[in-house]
Amino acid sequence: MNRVSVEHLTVLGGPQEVVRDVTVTFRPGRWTAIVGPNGAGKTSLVESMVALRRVASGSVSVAGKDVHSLRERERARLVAFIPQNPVVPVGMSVVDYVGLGRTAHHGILQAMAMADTRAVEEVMKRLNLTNLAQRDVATLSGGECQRAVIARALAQATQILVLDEPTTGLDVRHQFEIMQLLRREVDECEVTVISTLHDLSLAGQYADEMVVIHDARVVLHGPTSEVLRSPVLGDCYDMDLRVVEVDGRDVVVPIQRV
Amino acid sequence: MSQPPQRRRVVVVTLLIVVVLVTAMVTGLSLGPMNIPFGDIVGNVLSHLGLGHSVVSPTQSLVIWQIRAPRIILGSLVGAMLATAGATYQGVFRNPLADPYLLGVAAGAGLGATIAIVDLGGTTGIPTWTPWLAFAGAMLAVATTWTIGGRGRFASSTTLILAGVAVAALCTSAQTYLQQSSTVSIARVYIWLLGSLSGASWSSVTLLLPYVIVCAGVCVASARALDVLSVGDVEARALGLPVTQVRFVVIVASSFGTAAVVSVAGLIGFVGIIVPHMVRLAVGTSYRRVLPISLLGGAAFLVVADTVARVVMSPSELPLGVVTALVGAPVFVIILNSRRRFVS
Repeated sequence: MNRVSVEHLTVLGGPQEVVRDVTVTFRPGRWTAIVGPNGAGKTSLVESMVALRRVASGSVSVAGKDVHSLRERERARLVAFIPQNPVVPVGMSVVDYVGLGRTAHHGILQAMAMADTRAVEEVMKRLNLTNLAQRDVATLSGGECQRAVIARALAQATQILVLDEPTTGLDVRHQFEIMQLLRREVDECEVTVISTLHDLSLAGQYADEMVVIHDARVVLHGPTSEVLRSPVLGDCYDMDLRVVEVDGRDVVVPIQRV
Repeated sequence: MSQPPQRRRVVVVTLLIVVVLVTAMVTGLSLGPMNIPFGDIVGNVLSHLGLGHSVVSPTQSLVIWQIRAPRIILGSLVGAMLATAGATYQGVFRNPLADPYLLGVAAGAGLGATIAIVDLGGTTGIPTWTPWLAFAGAMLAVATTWTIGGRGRFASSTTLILAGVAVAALCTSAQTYLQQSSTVSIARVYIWLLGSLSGASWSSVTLLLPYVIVCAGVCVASARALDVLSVGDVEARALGLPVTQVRFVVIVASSFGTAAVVSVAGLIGFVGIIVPHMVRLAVGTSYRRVLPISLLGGAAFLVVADTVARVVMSPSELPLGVVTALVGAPVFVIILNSRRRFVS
């Protein structure tokens, strides 16, 4: 239920190939960070994993099924997706917003069943959102809002979570809070997390594996600590990357090449 | 996790609208060139329900039940459908300015009606063909819009709106040409375009009723899907909503209902925008509340507006479309100003 693999995937963005013949198998029940410079094709890759992109060739299989031939509802029960800049509806309470995650479970015409309400309550408690339940999502702070977005994805109760830059626009504390929260899902529930990340230090501290994308191709894939120490990674950014160990965690210090 | 004050608010607003609707209906039965006292109307209505006996004369009874009653019922059907369709369009396009005429319904119906009046009609009156041609024109226009901008898995609401703009412009230009080409019928075309319920009869009520029940029913039933759509097409799809199919069903229902309404009542503007927004200001943005309450509110609004249209310059009538804007716009502005936070 938590397997994701991409085979010979090519995605077009206009006339250009934004993802070119990519083949990756993501380790189930682990966290894989997709890194690479801006415009490398990270977003196109994750979007095509949830069939939000038309694929030129190749395939993505999720829990053993071809994601592009699944119906929306079936797919949403297998994989949850959070885009980089989620749309925040005005005038919707946090509890209703998190409840949107249950769409694929209760059907379009039916009201939420007891099981749905309970799932929403449980997720909100886990993410410490209960006291914000009746607040308008549009009035939340950046950190609270991102927690609500994650809660919505967790309410989908899938074994696979795909996130595009989940820490964009958050301060340091809230970045770590979100990372911690996703880490717990991986450790406790064996959810497969696939997220693009710009911050290599965050990736170094939280992700199990790393996939490096450069020029629409996968150039490196392996355990995080190995990938971070590979010279190939620095070449992608045209930067020197020094890895410093602080309390047993990898921190990446980028230094401009001369 | 419910919020009692808000729920109470919804109940109060709903009751208020029902009271306005019923009062407007009874007032509408009473007012007109032949004034019938309010009390007599109530007595007459009650006597039909088997309570007491009526004091109105047979002529008065005829005026009440064959002229005014069908008009009031028709008005509430038209208002309910337009407001529901407007709210639905605003939801499906995530655009507060969307109205039921967005995809070319009005322009198509206008063209159809103009063809009927100018080319097929005689020199007086509105030909009996008019509603059918108006309906056909409206449906054809929306179908064209959908064919151009709404198909394919990755078609967006923006492509659809733009296609609607193009189709509406095309229909309007053809309609204007036809209208200007015949000076004999230009006034009648204008009267039709401005909208009126003066042609109401029980047969037009029974003609319209099934369309409104089915179409408004589908719209109200889609409330939950529209709430999901409020996070945009991409995320709604990721949440498991078959966006393209939902959009198709919802647009077909609201356009079909609007076309039916327009074909019997002409182009009554403003109802589809103002009523849903007033409802939002009162009960919040969730379509599970906005849609059913807009349905009621639209009915009440149009019955009030039509009564004003009939009475102000009695025995002649103001065009209904003029009244809805004339009454609606200031009321809307007042409400907007009284509530600081405008939710779009």
